[in-house]
Amino acid sequence: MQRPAIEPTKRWQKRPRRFGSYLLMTVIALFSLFPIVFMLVTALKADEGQILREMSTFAAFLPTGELSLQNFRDVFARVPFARYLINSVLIAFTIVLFGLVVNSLIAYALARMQFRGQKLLLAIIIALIIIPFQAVAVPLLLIVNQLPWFDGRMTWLDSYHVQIIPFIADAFSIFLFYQFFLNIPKDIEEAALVDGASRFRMYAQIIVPLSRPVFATVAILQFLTHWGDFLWPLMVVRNPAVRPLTVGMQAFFGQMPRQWGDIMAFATMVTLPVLIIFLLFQKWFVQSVASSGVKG
Amino acid sequence: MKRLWIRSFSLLVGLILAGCGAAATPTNPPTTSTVDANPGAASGTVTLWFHSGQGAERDALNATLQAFAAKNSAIKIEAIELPEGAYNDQVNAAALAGELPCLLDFDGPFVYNYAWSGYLQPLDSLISTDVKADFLPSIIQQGTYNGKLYSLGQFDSGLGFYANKALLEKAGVRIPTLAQPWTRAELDQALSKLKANGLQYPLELKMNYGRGEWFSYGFSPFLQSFGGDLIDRSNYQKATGTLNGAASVEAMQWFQSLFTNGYVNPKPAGDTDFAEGKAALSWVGHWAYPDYAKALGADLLVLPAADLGKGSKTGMGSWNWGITSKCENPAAAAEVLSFIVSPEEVLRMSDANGAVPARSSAIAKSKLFGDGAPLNIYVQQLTNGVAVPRPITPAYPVITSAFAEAVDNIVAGADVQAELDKAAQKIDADIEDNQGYPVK
Repeated sequence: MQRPAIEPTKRWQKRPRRFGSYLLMTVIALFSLFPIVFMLVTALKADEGQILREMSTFAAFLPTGELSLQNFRDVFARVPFARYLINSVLIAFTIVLFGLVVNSLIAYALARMQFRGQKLLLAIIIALIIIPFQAVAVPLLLIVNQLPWFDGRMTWLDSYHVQIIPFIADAFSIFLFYQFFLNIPKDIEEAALVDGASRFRMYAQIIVPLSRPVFATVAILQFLTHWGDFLWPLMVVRNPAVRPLTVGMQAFFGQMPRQWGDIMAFATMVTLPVLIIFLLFQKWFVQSVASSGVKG
Repeated sequence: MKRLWIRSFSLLVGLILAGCGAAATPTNPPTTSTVDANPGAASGTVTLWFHSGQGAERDALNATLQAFAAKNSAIKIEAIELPEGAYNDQVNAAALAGELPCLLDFDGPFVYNYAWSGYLQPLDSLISTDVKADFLPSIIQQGTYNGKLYSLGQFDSGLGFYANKALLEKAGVRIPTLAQPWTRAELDQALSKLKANGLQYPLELKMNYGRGEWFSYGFSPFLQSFGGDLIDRSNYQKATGTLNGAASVEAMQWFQSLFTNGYVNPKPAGDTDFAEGKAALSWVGHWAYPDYAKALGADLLVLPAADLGKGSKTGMGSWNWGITSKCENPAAAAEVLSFIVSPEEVLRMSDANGAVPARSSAIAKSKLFGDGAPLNIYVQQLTNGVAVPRPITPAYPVITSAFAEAVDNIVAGADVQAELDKAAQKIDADIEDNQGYPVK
């Protein structure tokens, strides 16, 4: 008799606490969404004066006043946006594609093959994770500036490959793959070995199919990183033919007063592909984070 | 299966490499090919970088380059437009890699740092004395470092008060002239009267531009008008004693009082307070003229800088052009530069961006800046010593960022002496780190 009497009371006591935590989570979620809402809403506001007037008020988050796609048209009129977009997509996708192959192969070798210096190599790779790119950017610039290419030029500057090749091998990606591969039982590979399979075949036909979540995670993390790359392309690319979106956007920062509508329209068009990619791969991403325990 | 994998991967690598190679071709500036044996008749290729400024400015420069191509077939220009927001960083990175073009433009005060770093070559032997004499003294002053001319511009800038005539008259404020500018007391009184007349913020200082070059360009003339400065200009070795000296501190205390007295809005929501009649005065450069003229019509007045104690002072300097020291064909680059700064092209640019033409012969033909024209006051400020160049030292990038930070904090209510002490220390530390920027 006592039990049912206590239960509702407990539930009743829990309810405000649960309500409170949901409220808190909702506020935090809204807070994180505010910049994106601000960006989208501002991009649609045609009147630059209105944008400035509302900048420090709540109205900045509301689609008020005259709404149009004029800012988007302005972006296309002012810079070759399509060219920049193609460049960014090509660069980010190529890094991801080559990165998946190269880094997973390195990680596979480290996780499964015995060779002299294996542990030292692993330690060096893990140590590399902590070195920020900014620290090596200038020496890297001086190196790529002296490297020959197939077209006879004696520098890599102003090209796609200078934005791709230095980022294919990535210490953090190797570490993620390595961690994941360690957790795959060796039994299947040993069975394959008995059947006469080569190392590469084991990698391609056993490890890769079993490691889809980590491949997805690395792909997403690498894509997000290199989609937003700014410092490196700023240093090595001058020609608009190979200029990515992030550097192209700088055309809107300079002369005063700034056209925030145009800037936000540009930012919206830069952000949308990333959002779409994330939504497409969300399942893999969450699954991988849950299984590998690595939080990006 | 193994072979298939290897084949597919090799194919992918091949395709990407081919793609990179093909894509790189147009980017491949055939590095200045011919070094002409006879510098009198220049030919060859000149690589040129310029910043993507306003649309009209960009169009004018493109028109200039096309006009040059039509006139001179022996010299081929390979122009690359770089995004303005990252322009200086890209120039610095290229300089580091030794990949600067022959000819490039840059914001005025950076010339000293570029010249000291050895990026630029002197123009003295490449530009004739006659041509030099036609330039505004401010352009020559701005482009000269260590006794050598390193840069020439198509235009200079003008800075002063724009005023709403109706609002001044209503408040009974005297209209100043170059010969009789406002004194500090008069300016304070005018602001007080205008505020009493119902204007919430009578003066606009373009605080919406945010911390950056505007703070140094726009507000350091106040320091100079009080008798202070950003650095001791006798040898450019120390900011301590000058930037945090009594005159500078007094100047910035007065500047802070503009905000504490409620004369200036520290966080304006927009750029339009003056154009909408909410402010009676606007302290800004020549670039505001077209919008203001449209908004106020006959009520718009262009007024000189006030004399805050040690004479009226205003800013000068804008984007200008230089030839890099790595340029293998300086004769051809000089020919392109001479064309860019020819009176016709200077006028074309000035008509497009509304800036002060850099050459006297172009000013005479300008509808905005010629004798009696609405913005002629800027020419007078530039020629009669009212305009002060920003410090002629390679330390300028540090000076401007330290001062801008101080201004930002002072506007927010920080202690003036402490802020200026901090800025002066930062500048002195940089000069010390560079051994006083010895002239090489």
